[in-house]
Amino acid sequence: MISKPKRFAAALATLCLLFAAGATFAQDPGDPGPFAVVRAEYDYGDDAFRFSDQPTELRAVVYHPKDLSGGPFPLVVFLHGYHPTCYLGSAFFLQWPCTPPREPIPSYIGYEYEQEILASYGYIVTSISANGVNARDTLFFDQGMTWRAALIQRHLDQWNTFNTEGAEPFGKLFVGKVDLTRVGTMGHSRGGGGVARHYNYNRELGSPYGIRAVFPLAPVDRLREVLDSVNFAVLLPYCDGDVADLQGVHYFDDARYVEGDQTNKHYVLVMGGNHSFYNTVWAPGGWPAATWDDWLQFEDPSGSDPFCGTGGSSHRLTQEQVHGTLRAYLTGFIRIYLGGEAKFLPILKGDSPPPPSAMTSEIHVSYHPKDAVGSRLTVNSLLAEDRLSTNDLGEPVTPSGLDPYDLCGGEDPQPRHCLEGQPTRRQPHTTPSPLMMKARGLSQLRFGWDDATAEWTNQIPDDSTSDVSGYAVVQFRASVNFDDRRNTPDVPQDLSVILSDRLGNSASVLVGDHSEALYYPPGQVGAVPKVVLNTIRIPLGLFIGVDLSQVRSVRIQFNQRDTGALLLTDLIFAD
Amino acid sequence: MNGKSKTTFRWSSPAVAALLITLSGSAAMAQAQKNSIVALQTASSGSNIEIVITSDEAFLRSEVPVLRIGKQEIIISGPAEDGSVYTRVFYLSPEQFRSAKSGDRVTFQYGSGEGERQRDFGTLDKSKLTHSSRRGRP
Repeated sequence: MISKPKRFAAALATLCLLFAAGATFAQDPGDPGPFAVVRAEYDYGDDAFRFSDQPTELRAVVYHPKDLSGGPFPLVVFLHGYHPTCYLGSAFFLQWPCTPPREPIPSYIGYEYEQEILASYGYIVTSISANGVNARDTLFFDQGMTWRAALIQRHLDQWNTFNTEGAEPFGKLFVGKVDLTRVGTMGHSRGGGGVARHYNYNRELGSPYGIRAVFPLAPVDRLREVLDSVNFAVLLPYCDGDVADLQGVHYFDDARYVEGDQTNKHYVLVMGGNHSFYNTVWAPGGWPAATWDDWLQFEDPSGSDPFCGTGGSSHRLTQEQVHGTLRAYLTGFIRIYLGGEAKFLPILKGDSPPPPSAMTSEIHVSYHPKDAVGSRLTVNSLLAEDRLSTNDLGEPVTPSGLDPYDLCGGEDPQPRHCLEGQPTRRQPHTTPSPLMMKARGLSQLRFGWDDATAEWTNQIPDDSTSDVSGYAVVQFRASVNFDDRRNTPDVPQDLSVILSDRLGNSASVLVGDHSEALYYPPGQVGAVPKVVLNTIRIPLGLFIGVDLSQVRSVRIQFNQRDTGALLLTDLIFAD
Repeated sequence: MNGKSKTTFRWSSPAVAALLITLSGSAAMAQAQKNSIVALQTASSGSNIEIVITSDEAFLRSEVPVLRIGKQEIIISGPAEDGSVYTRVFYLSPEQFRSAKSGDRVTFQYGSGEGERQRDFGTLDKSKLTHSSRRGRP
């Protein structure tokens, strides 16, 4: 039982934390910035670059600060995804180059709304065309991912030329104005797989360019590329009807525990977001041909899903809202990791609610900090079977009243999927890739309870490890298991997190007071509902009366619902 | 459906069109069906075997296009020469073709997951294998 003074102190602490979080809104990362912006293009033709003898265009639209005198400016490269490449009237085709009178579909101009915002903060933003890749990428085992990487590298080489000697069509405009040691990439869909491949491709070449930030947007993950040593954020639209299995979550899951990795990982789950609306050329009305709402096109033609469909209960976002989510989170991400504006980190950690520019509050952010003292202390990674009884700190793990109590989704002998019998596109963390069929997914603790006395306890060693006062939060990732009937449809789960110290002081914090991550996964049609494990962060300042320099256990009590079932992983102390 | 005009349902090349004409009556009738195997052929160069499929549902998604023949998954594919998004050419290695059996069920899906929505293309008939003048995959 928590005493009244403790409750008052906890409430006060909450208010202080909320105030602190609100203070970060002094500036919204997605608001227009101070620089006047210029739009330009370069185009060297449909067959200006060859990969494995395949013709590829070298073409891009560029936004940059009008006044370049303050340069050099960081460079951000955008790469669109898979889409028909040519059109004639309302008909569309997949070929390259287009046979006349067919004309190219300019997918590369579909992100200008975001290019303009970034440029207004002092970034040079180039969005490159990849129709040549799209037309024939599946002829290659890696589905064109290395081709995309090589194309990005070719554009970076071009920017190196612009920066050193100058070249047409810009002449000397960019000489000395481009900082190629501070480069960010954003790739959408297959382009997301492309920027992931490119990060490692550039490394394999000896890192001629400084790729500091990678942002896969609704990406494919063909190759299970591990993105260590680079800050990245993955954006996942819950109502994605194209990459409907949200396989891009693998980038986060696969990069969590690379030893010595000094970079942060994030993902942003946009409830109600879809795939095609992020590109203005692909969205309905955006071009004379090949436009669609992917949710309706591929998953739910009748629009009947109560969450992602078209009925009165739908939570689908408009195009403007979808653009808002990119404007808020990509701009914030780039400004943090290329611009050094750490003030936006609370947004990318999920400590601050979505900024107004996101135009929706239905967003869940997950975060995994770098491998450094003061940034992350892993209590239980739940990576392997022995973590059911002994945690990463070598201390006992004690379940009580939990059934089942096992691991799923990870390496053999764990079952490959956690929700047996459910389609894989409803289980993003374990969805397979045809190119990497042996690669397993996220190891998750699968459990449920039948009365409200159940709990799960992880002990902390009685040594210097128990001093967690240098961390900001205790956090874990979890999802309600919609496949287990002990959860009530449409009712969120809730639970308590309890810290205890060496002297026996304890304090309990209710997750539901600080997070909406334990929602019941919405939807009924096709790819939804789906389980996405969202990060839940509880500020350590809320554990009033506990000596944070001598914490001896983290206990999760399932005391808010009589029954329930969750999937959970990554119990850590974090910055 | 967006862009799904009459003009887009074209055969991928004169060779495929000719092949269609010379195929049996049942194959020719396939044009009226929703999903069809319209050619099974060896490429003029290389040793790969091509399976050309058509569907009245365009091949548009970003996920990996996968042709399942029995238990095998074929993931190397390309568009039709004329760029039709209603035709797809899958490339089997000689080993994959040897492993396939007449009567194997042929289905198409995006990605590898079980429980994914599949399009049924009937069964494989290896006796329909012909030689193509088409240039093989690069």
